[in-house]
Amino acid sequence: MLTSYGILISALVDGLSYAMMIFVISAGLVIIFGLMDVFNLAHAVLFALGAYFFIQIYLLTGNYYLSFILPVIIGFVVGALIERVLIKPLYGKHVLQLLLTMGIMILFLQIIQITWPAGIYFPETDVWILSGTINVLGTRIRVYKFIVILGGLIVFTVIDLLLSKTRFGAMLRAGTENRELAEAFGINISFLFTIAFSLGCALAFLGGALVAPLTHATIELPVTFTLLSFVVPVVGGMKSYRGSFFASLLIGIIDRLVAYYFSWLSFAIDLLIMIVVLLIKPEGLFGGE
Amino acid sequence: MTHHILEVDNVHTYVSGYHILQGVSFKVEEGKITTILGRNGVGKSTLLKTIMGILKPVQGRIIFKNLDITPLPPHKIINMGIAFVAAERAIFGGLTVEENLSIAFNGNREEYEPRLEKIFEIFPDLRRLRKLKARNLSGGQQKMLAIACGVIKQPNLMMLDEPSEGLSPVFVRRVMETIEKLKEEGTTILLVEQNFNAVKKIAEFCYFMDKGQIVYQSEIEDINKHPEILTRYLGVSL
Repeated sequence: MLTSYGILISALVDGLSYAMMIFVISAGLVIIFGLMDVFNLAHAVLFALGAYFFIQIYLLTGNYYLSFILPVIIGFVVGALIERVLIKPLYGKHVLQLLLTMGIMILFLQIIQITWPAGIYFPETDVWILSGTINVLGTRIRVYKFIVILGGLIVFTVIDLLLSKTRFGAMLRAGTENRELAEAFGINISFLFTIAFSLGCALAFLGGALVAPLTHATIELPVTFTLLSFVVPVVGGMKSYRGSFFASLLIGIIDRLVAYYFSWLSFAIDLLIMIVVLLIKPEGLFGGE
Repeated sequence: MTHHILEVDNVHTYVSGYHILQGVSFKVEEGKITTILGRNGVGKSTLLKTIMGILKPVQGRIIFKNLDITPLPPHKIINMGIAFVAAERAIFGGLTVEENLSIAFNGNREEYEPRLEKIFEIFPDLRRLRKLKARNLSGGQQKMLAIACGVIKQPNLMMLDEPSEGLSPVFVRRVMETIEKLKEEGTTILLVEQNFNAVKKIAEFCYFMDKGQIVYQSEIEDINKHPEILTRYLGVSL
């Protein structure tokens, strides 16, 4: 029997896994927008492509690890190509960036619809971690949701260590603060930006691959997450990956709790949270960090 | 025989459509302290940014160590042996002192610790401040850090843009003493200033800039003999 505690636990686990889902996608956007000031409307579609590639590779190989790693590599390469060929001439030109990345978004959506017109679904497997459930206070919860939570925490830790403890991270932060000075320090800003953009795209693909066993891959995926991928950095602070992490937790948990208990409000809750935060702290929770 | 480490030849640079450098030509002798003096707005900072490759001239050449560096990107020019200390916002406030030095360093990893140690010997204040965010340093300490970030590269040529600006007389003296010490250790110095009194004791040769051009050049001692030059090009007197 489903107890009220069971429902709450289920909602919280759902919220945490949902939070990690949106954190991984928005972390890439924070790197791309926070460092490079590039407004990338195609980011959520890259996330969706990660999910599509994951499931397709898994259907072909049956190997989870390969299905997870290959999309990340593909995402990195796609990001590098987009940055070198398309984005590079448009630094500082936000309107043109918006139009270009909108074009990329539409192109990739078309490719998705042509290649997978009915979407693509992650199959039932006998692998317990992927398809199994556990009983928590009378509620059956998908084991994989805990994998998503763990995955999100690992991504946060790795980004945190990369940006705060490595020379590469210091150069990224320096380039964010003052691009011209970074060049005067001898930093190859052009190469750094390519790496940063590629990393952001790889994170988007990683996010899609991570959540694909839960969400499957359908055309609704990019549509749903396009708005969220921007709401989270706005709430957390556009240039703060820590802000994105805590904003994801806030939005993810509240969103799922509302969906469970006040479903009539669920369609607007994310935007309401954003509005409240912006009214109280316009720069975002960790804005100015 | 005089060897010039840097030659700027008839350089014209535009910034936002304005013709800032209008045929600048000068040379920097190796091992000496050369200064370029001029009022605000004559193009001194634009000149340094052009040498560094941040701005590209529409005409003219820049020769460094007998190589034409005009078309090169800034990071390649810097890594050829030039260090640049900007007038303002010369360090990354969001990074710690040590992080600023770490990203300024461009040698092999095994050389980093010995060189960092040398920096702390030259700038002992920075040792105790190493974990502090650079934005929390005083103005003078930030200037010292900016110079240290140039020194850690062990450059052949160090270019400083108004190093005395905004500093107390005590710090100006410390900065100039540090610059002189660098020169004694073999670094060629190019100082851009509008404060003649700050540089007159250490500079050996000077150029005067006005309206985007080099308008006068002489040994520093000659300025003392012709103080009207200062009045004409800097609006000050000795």
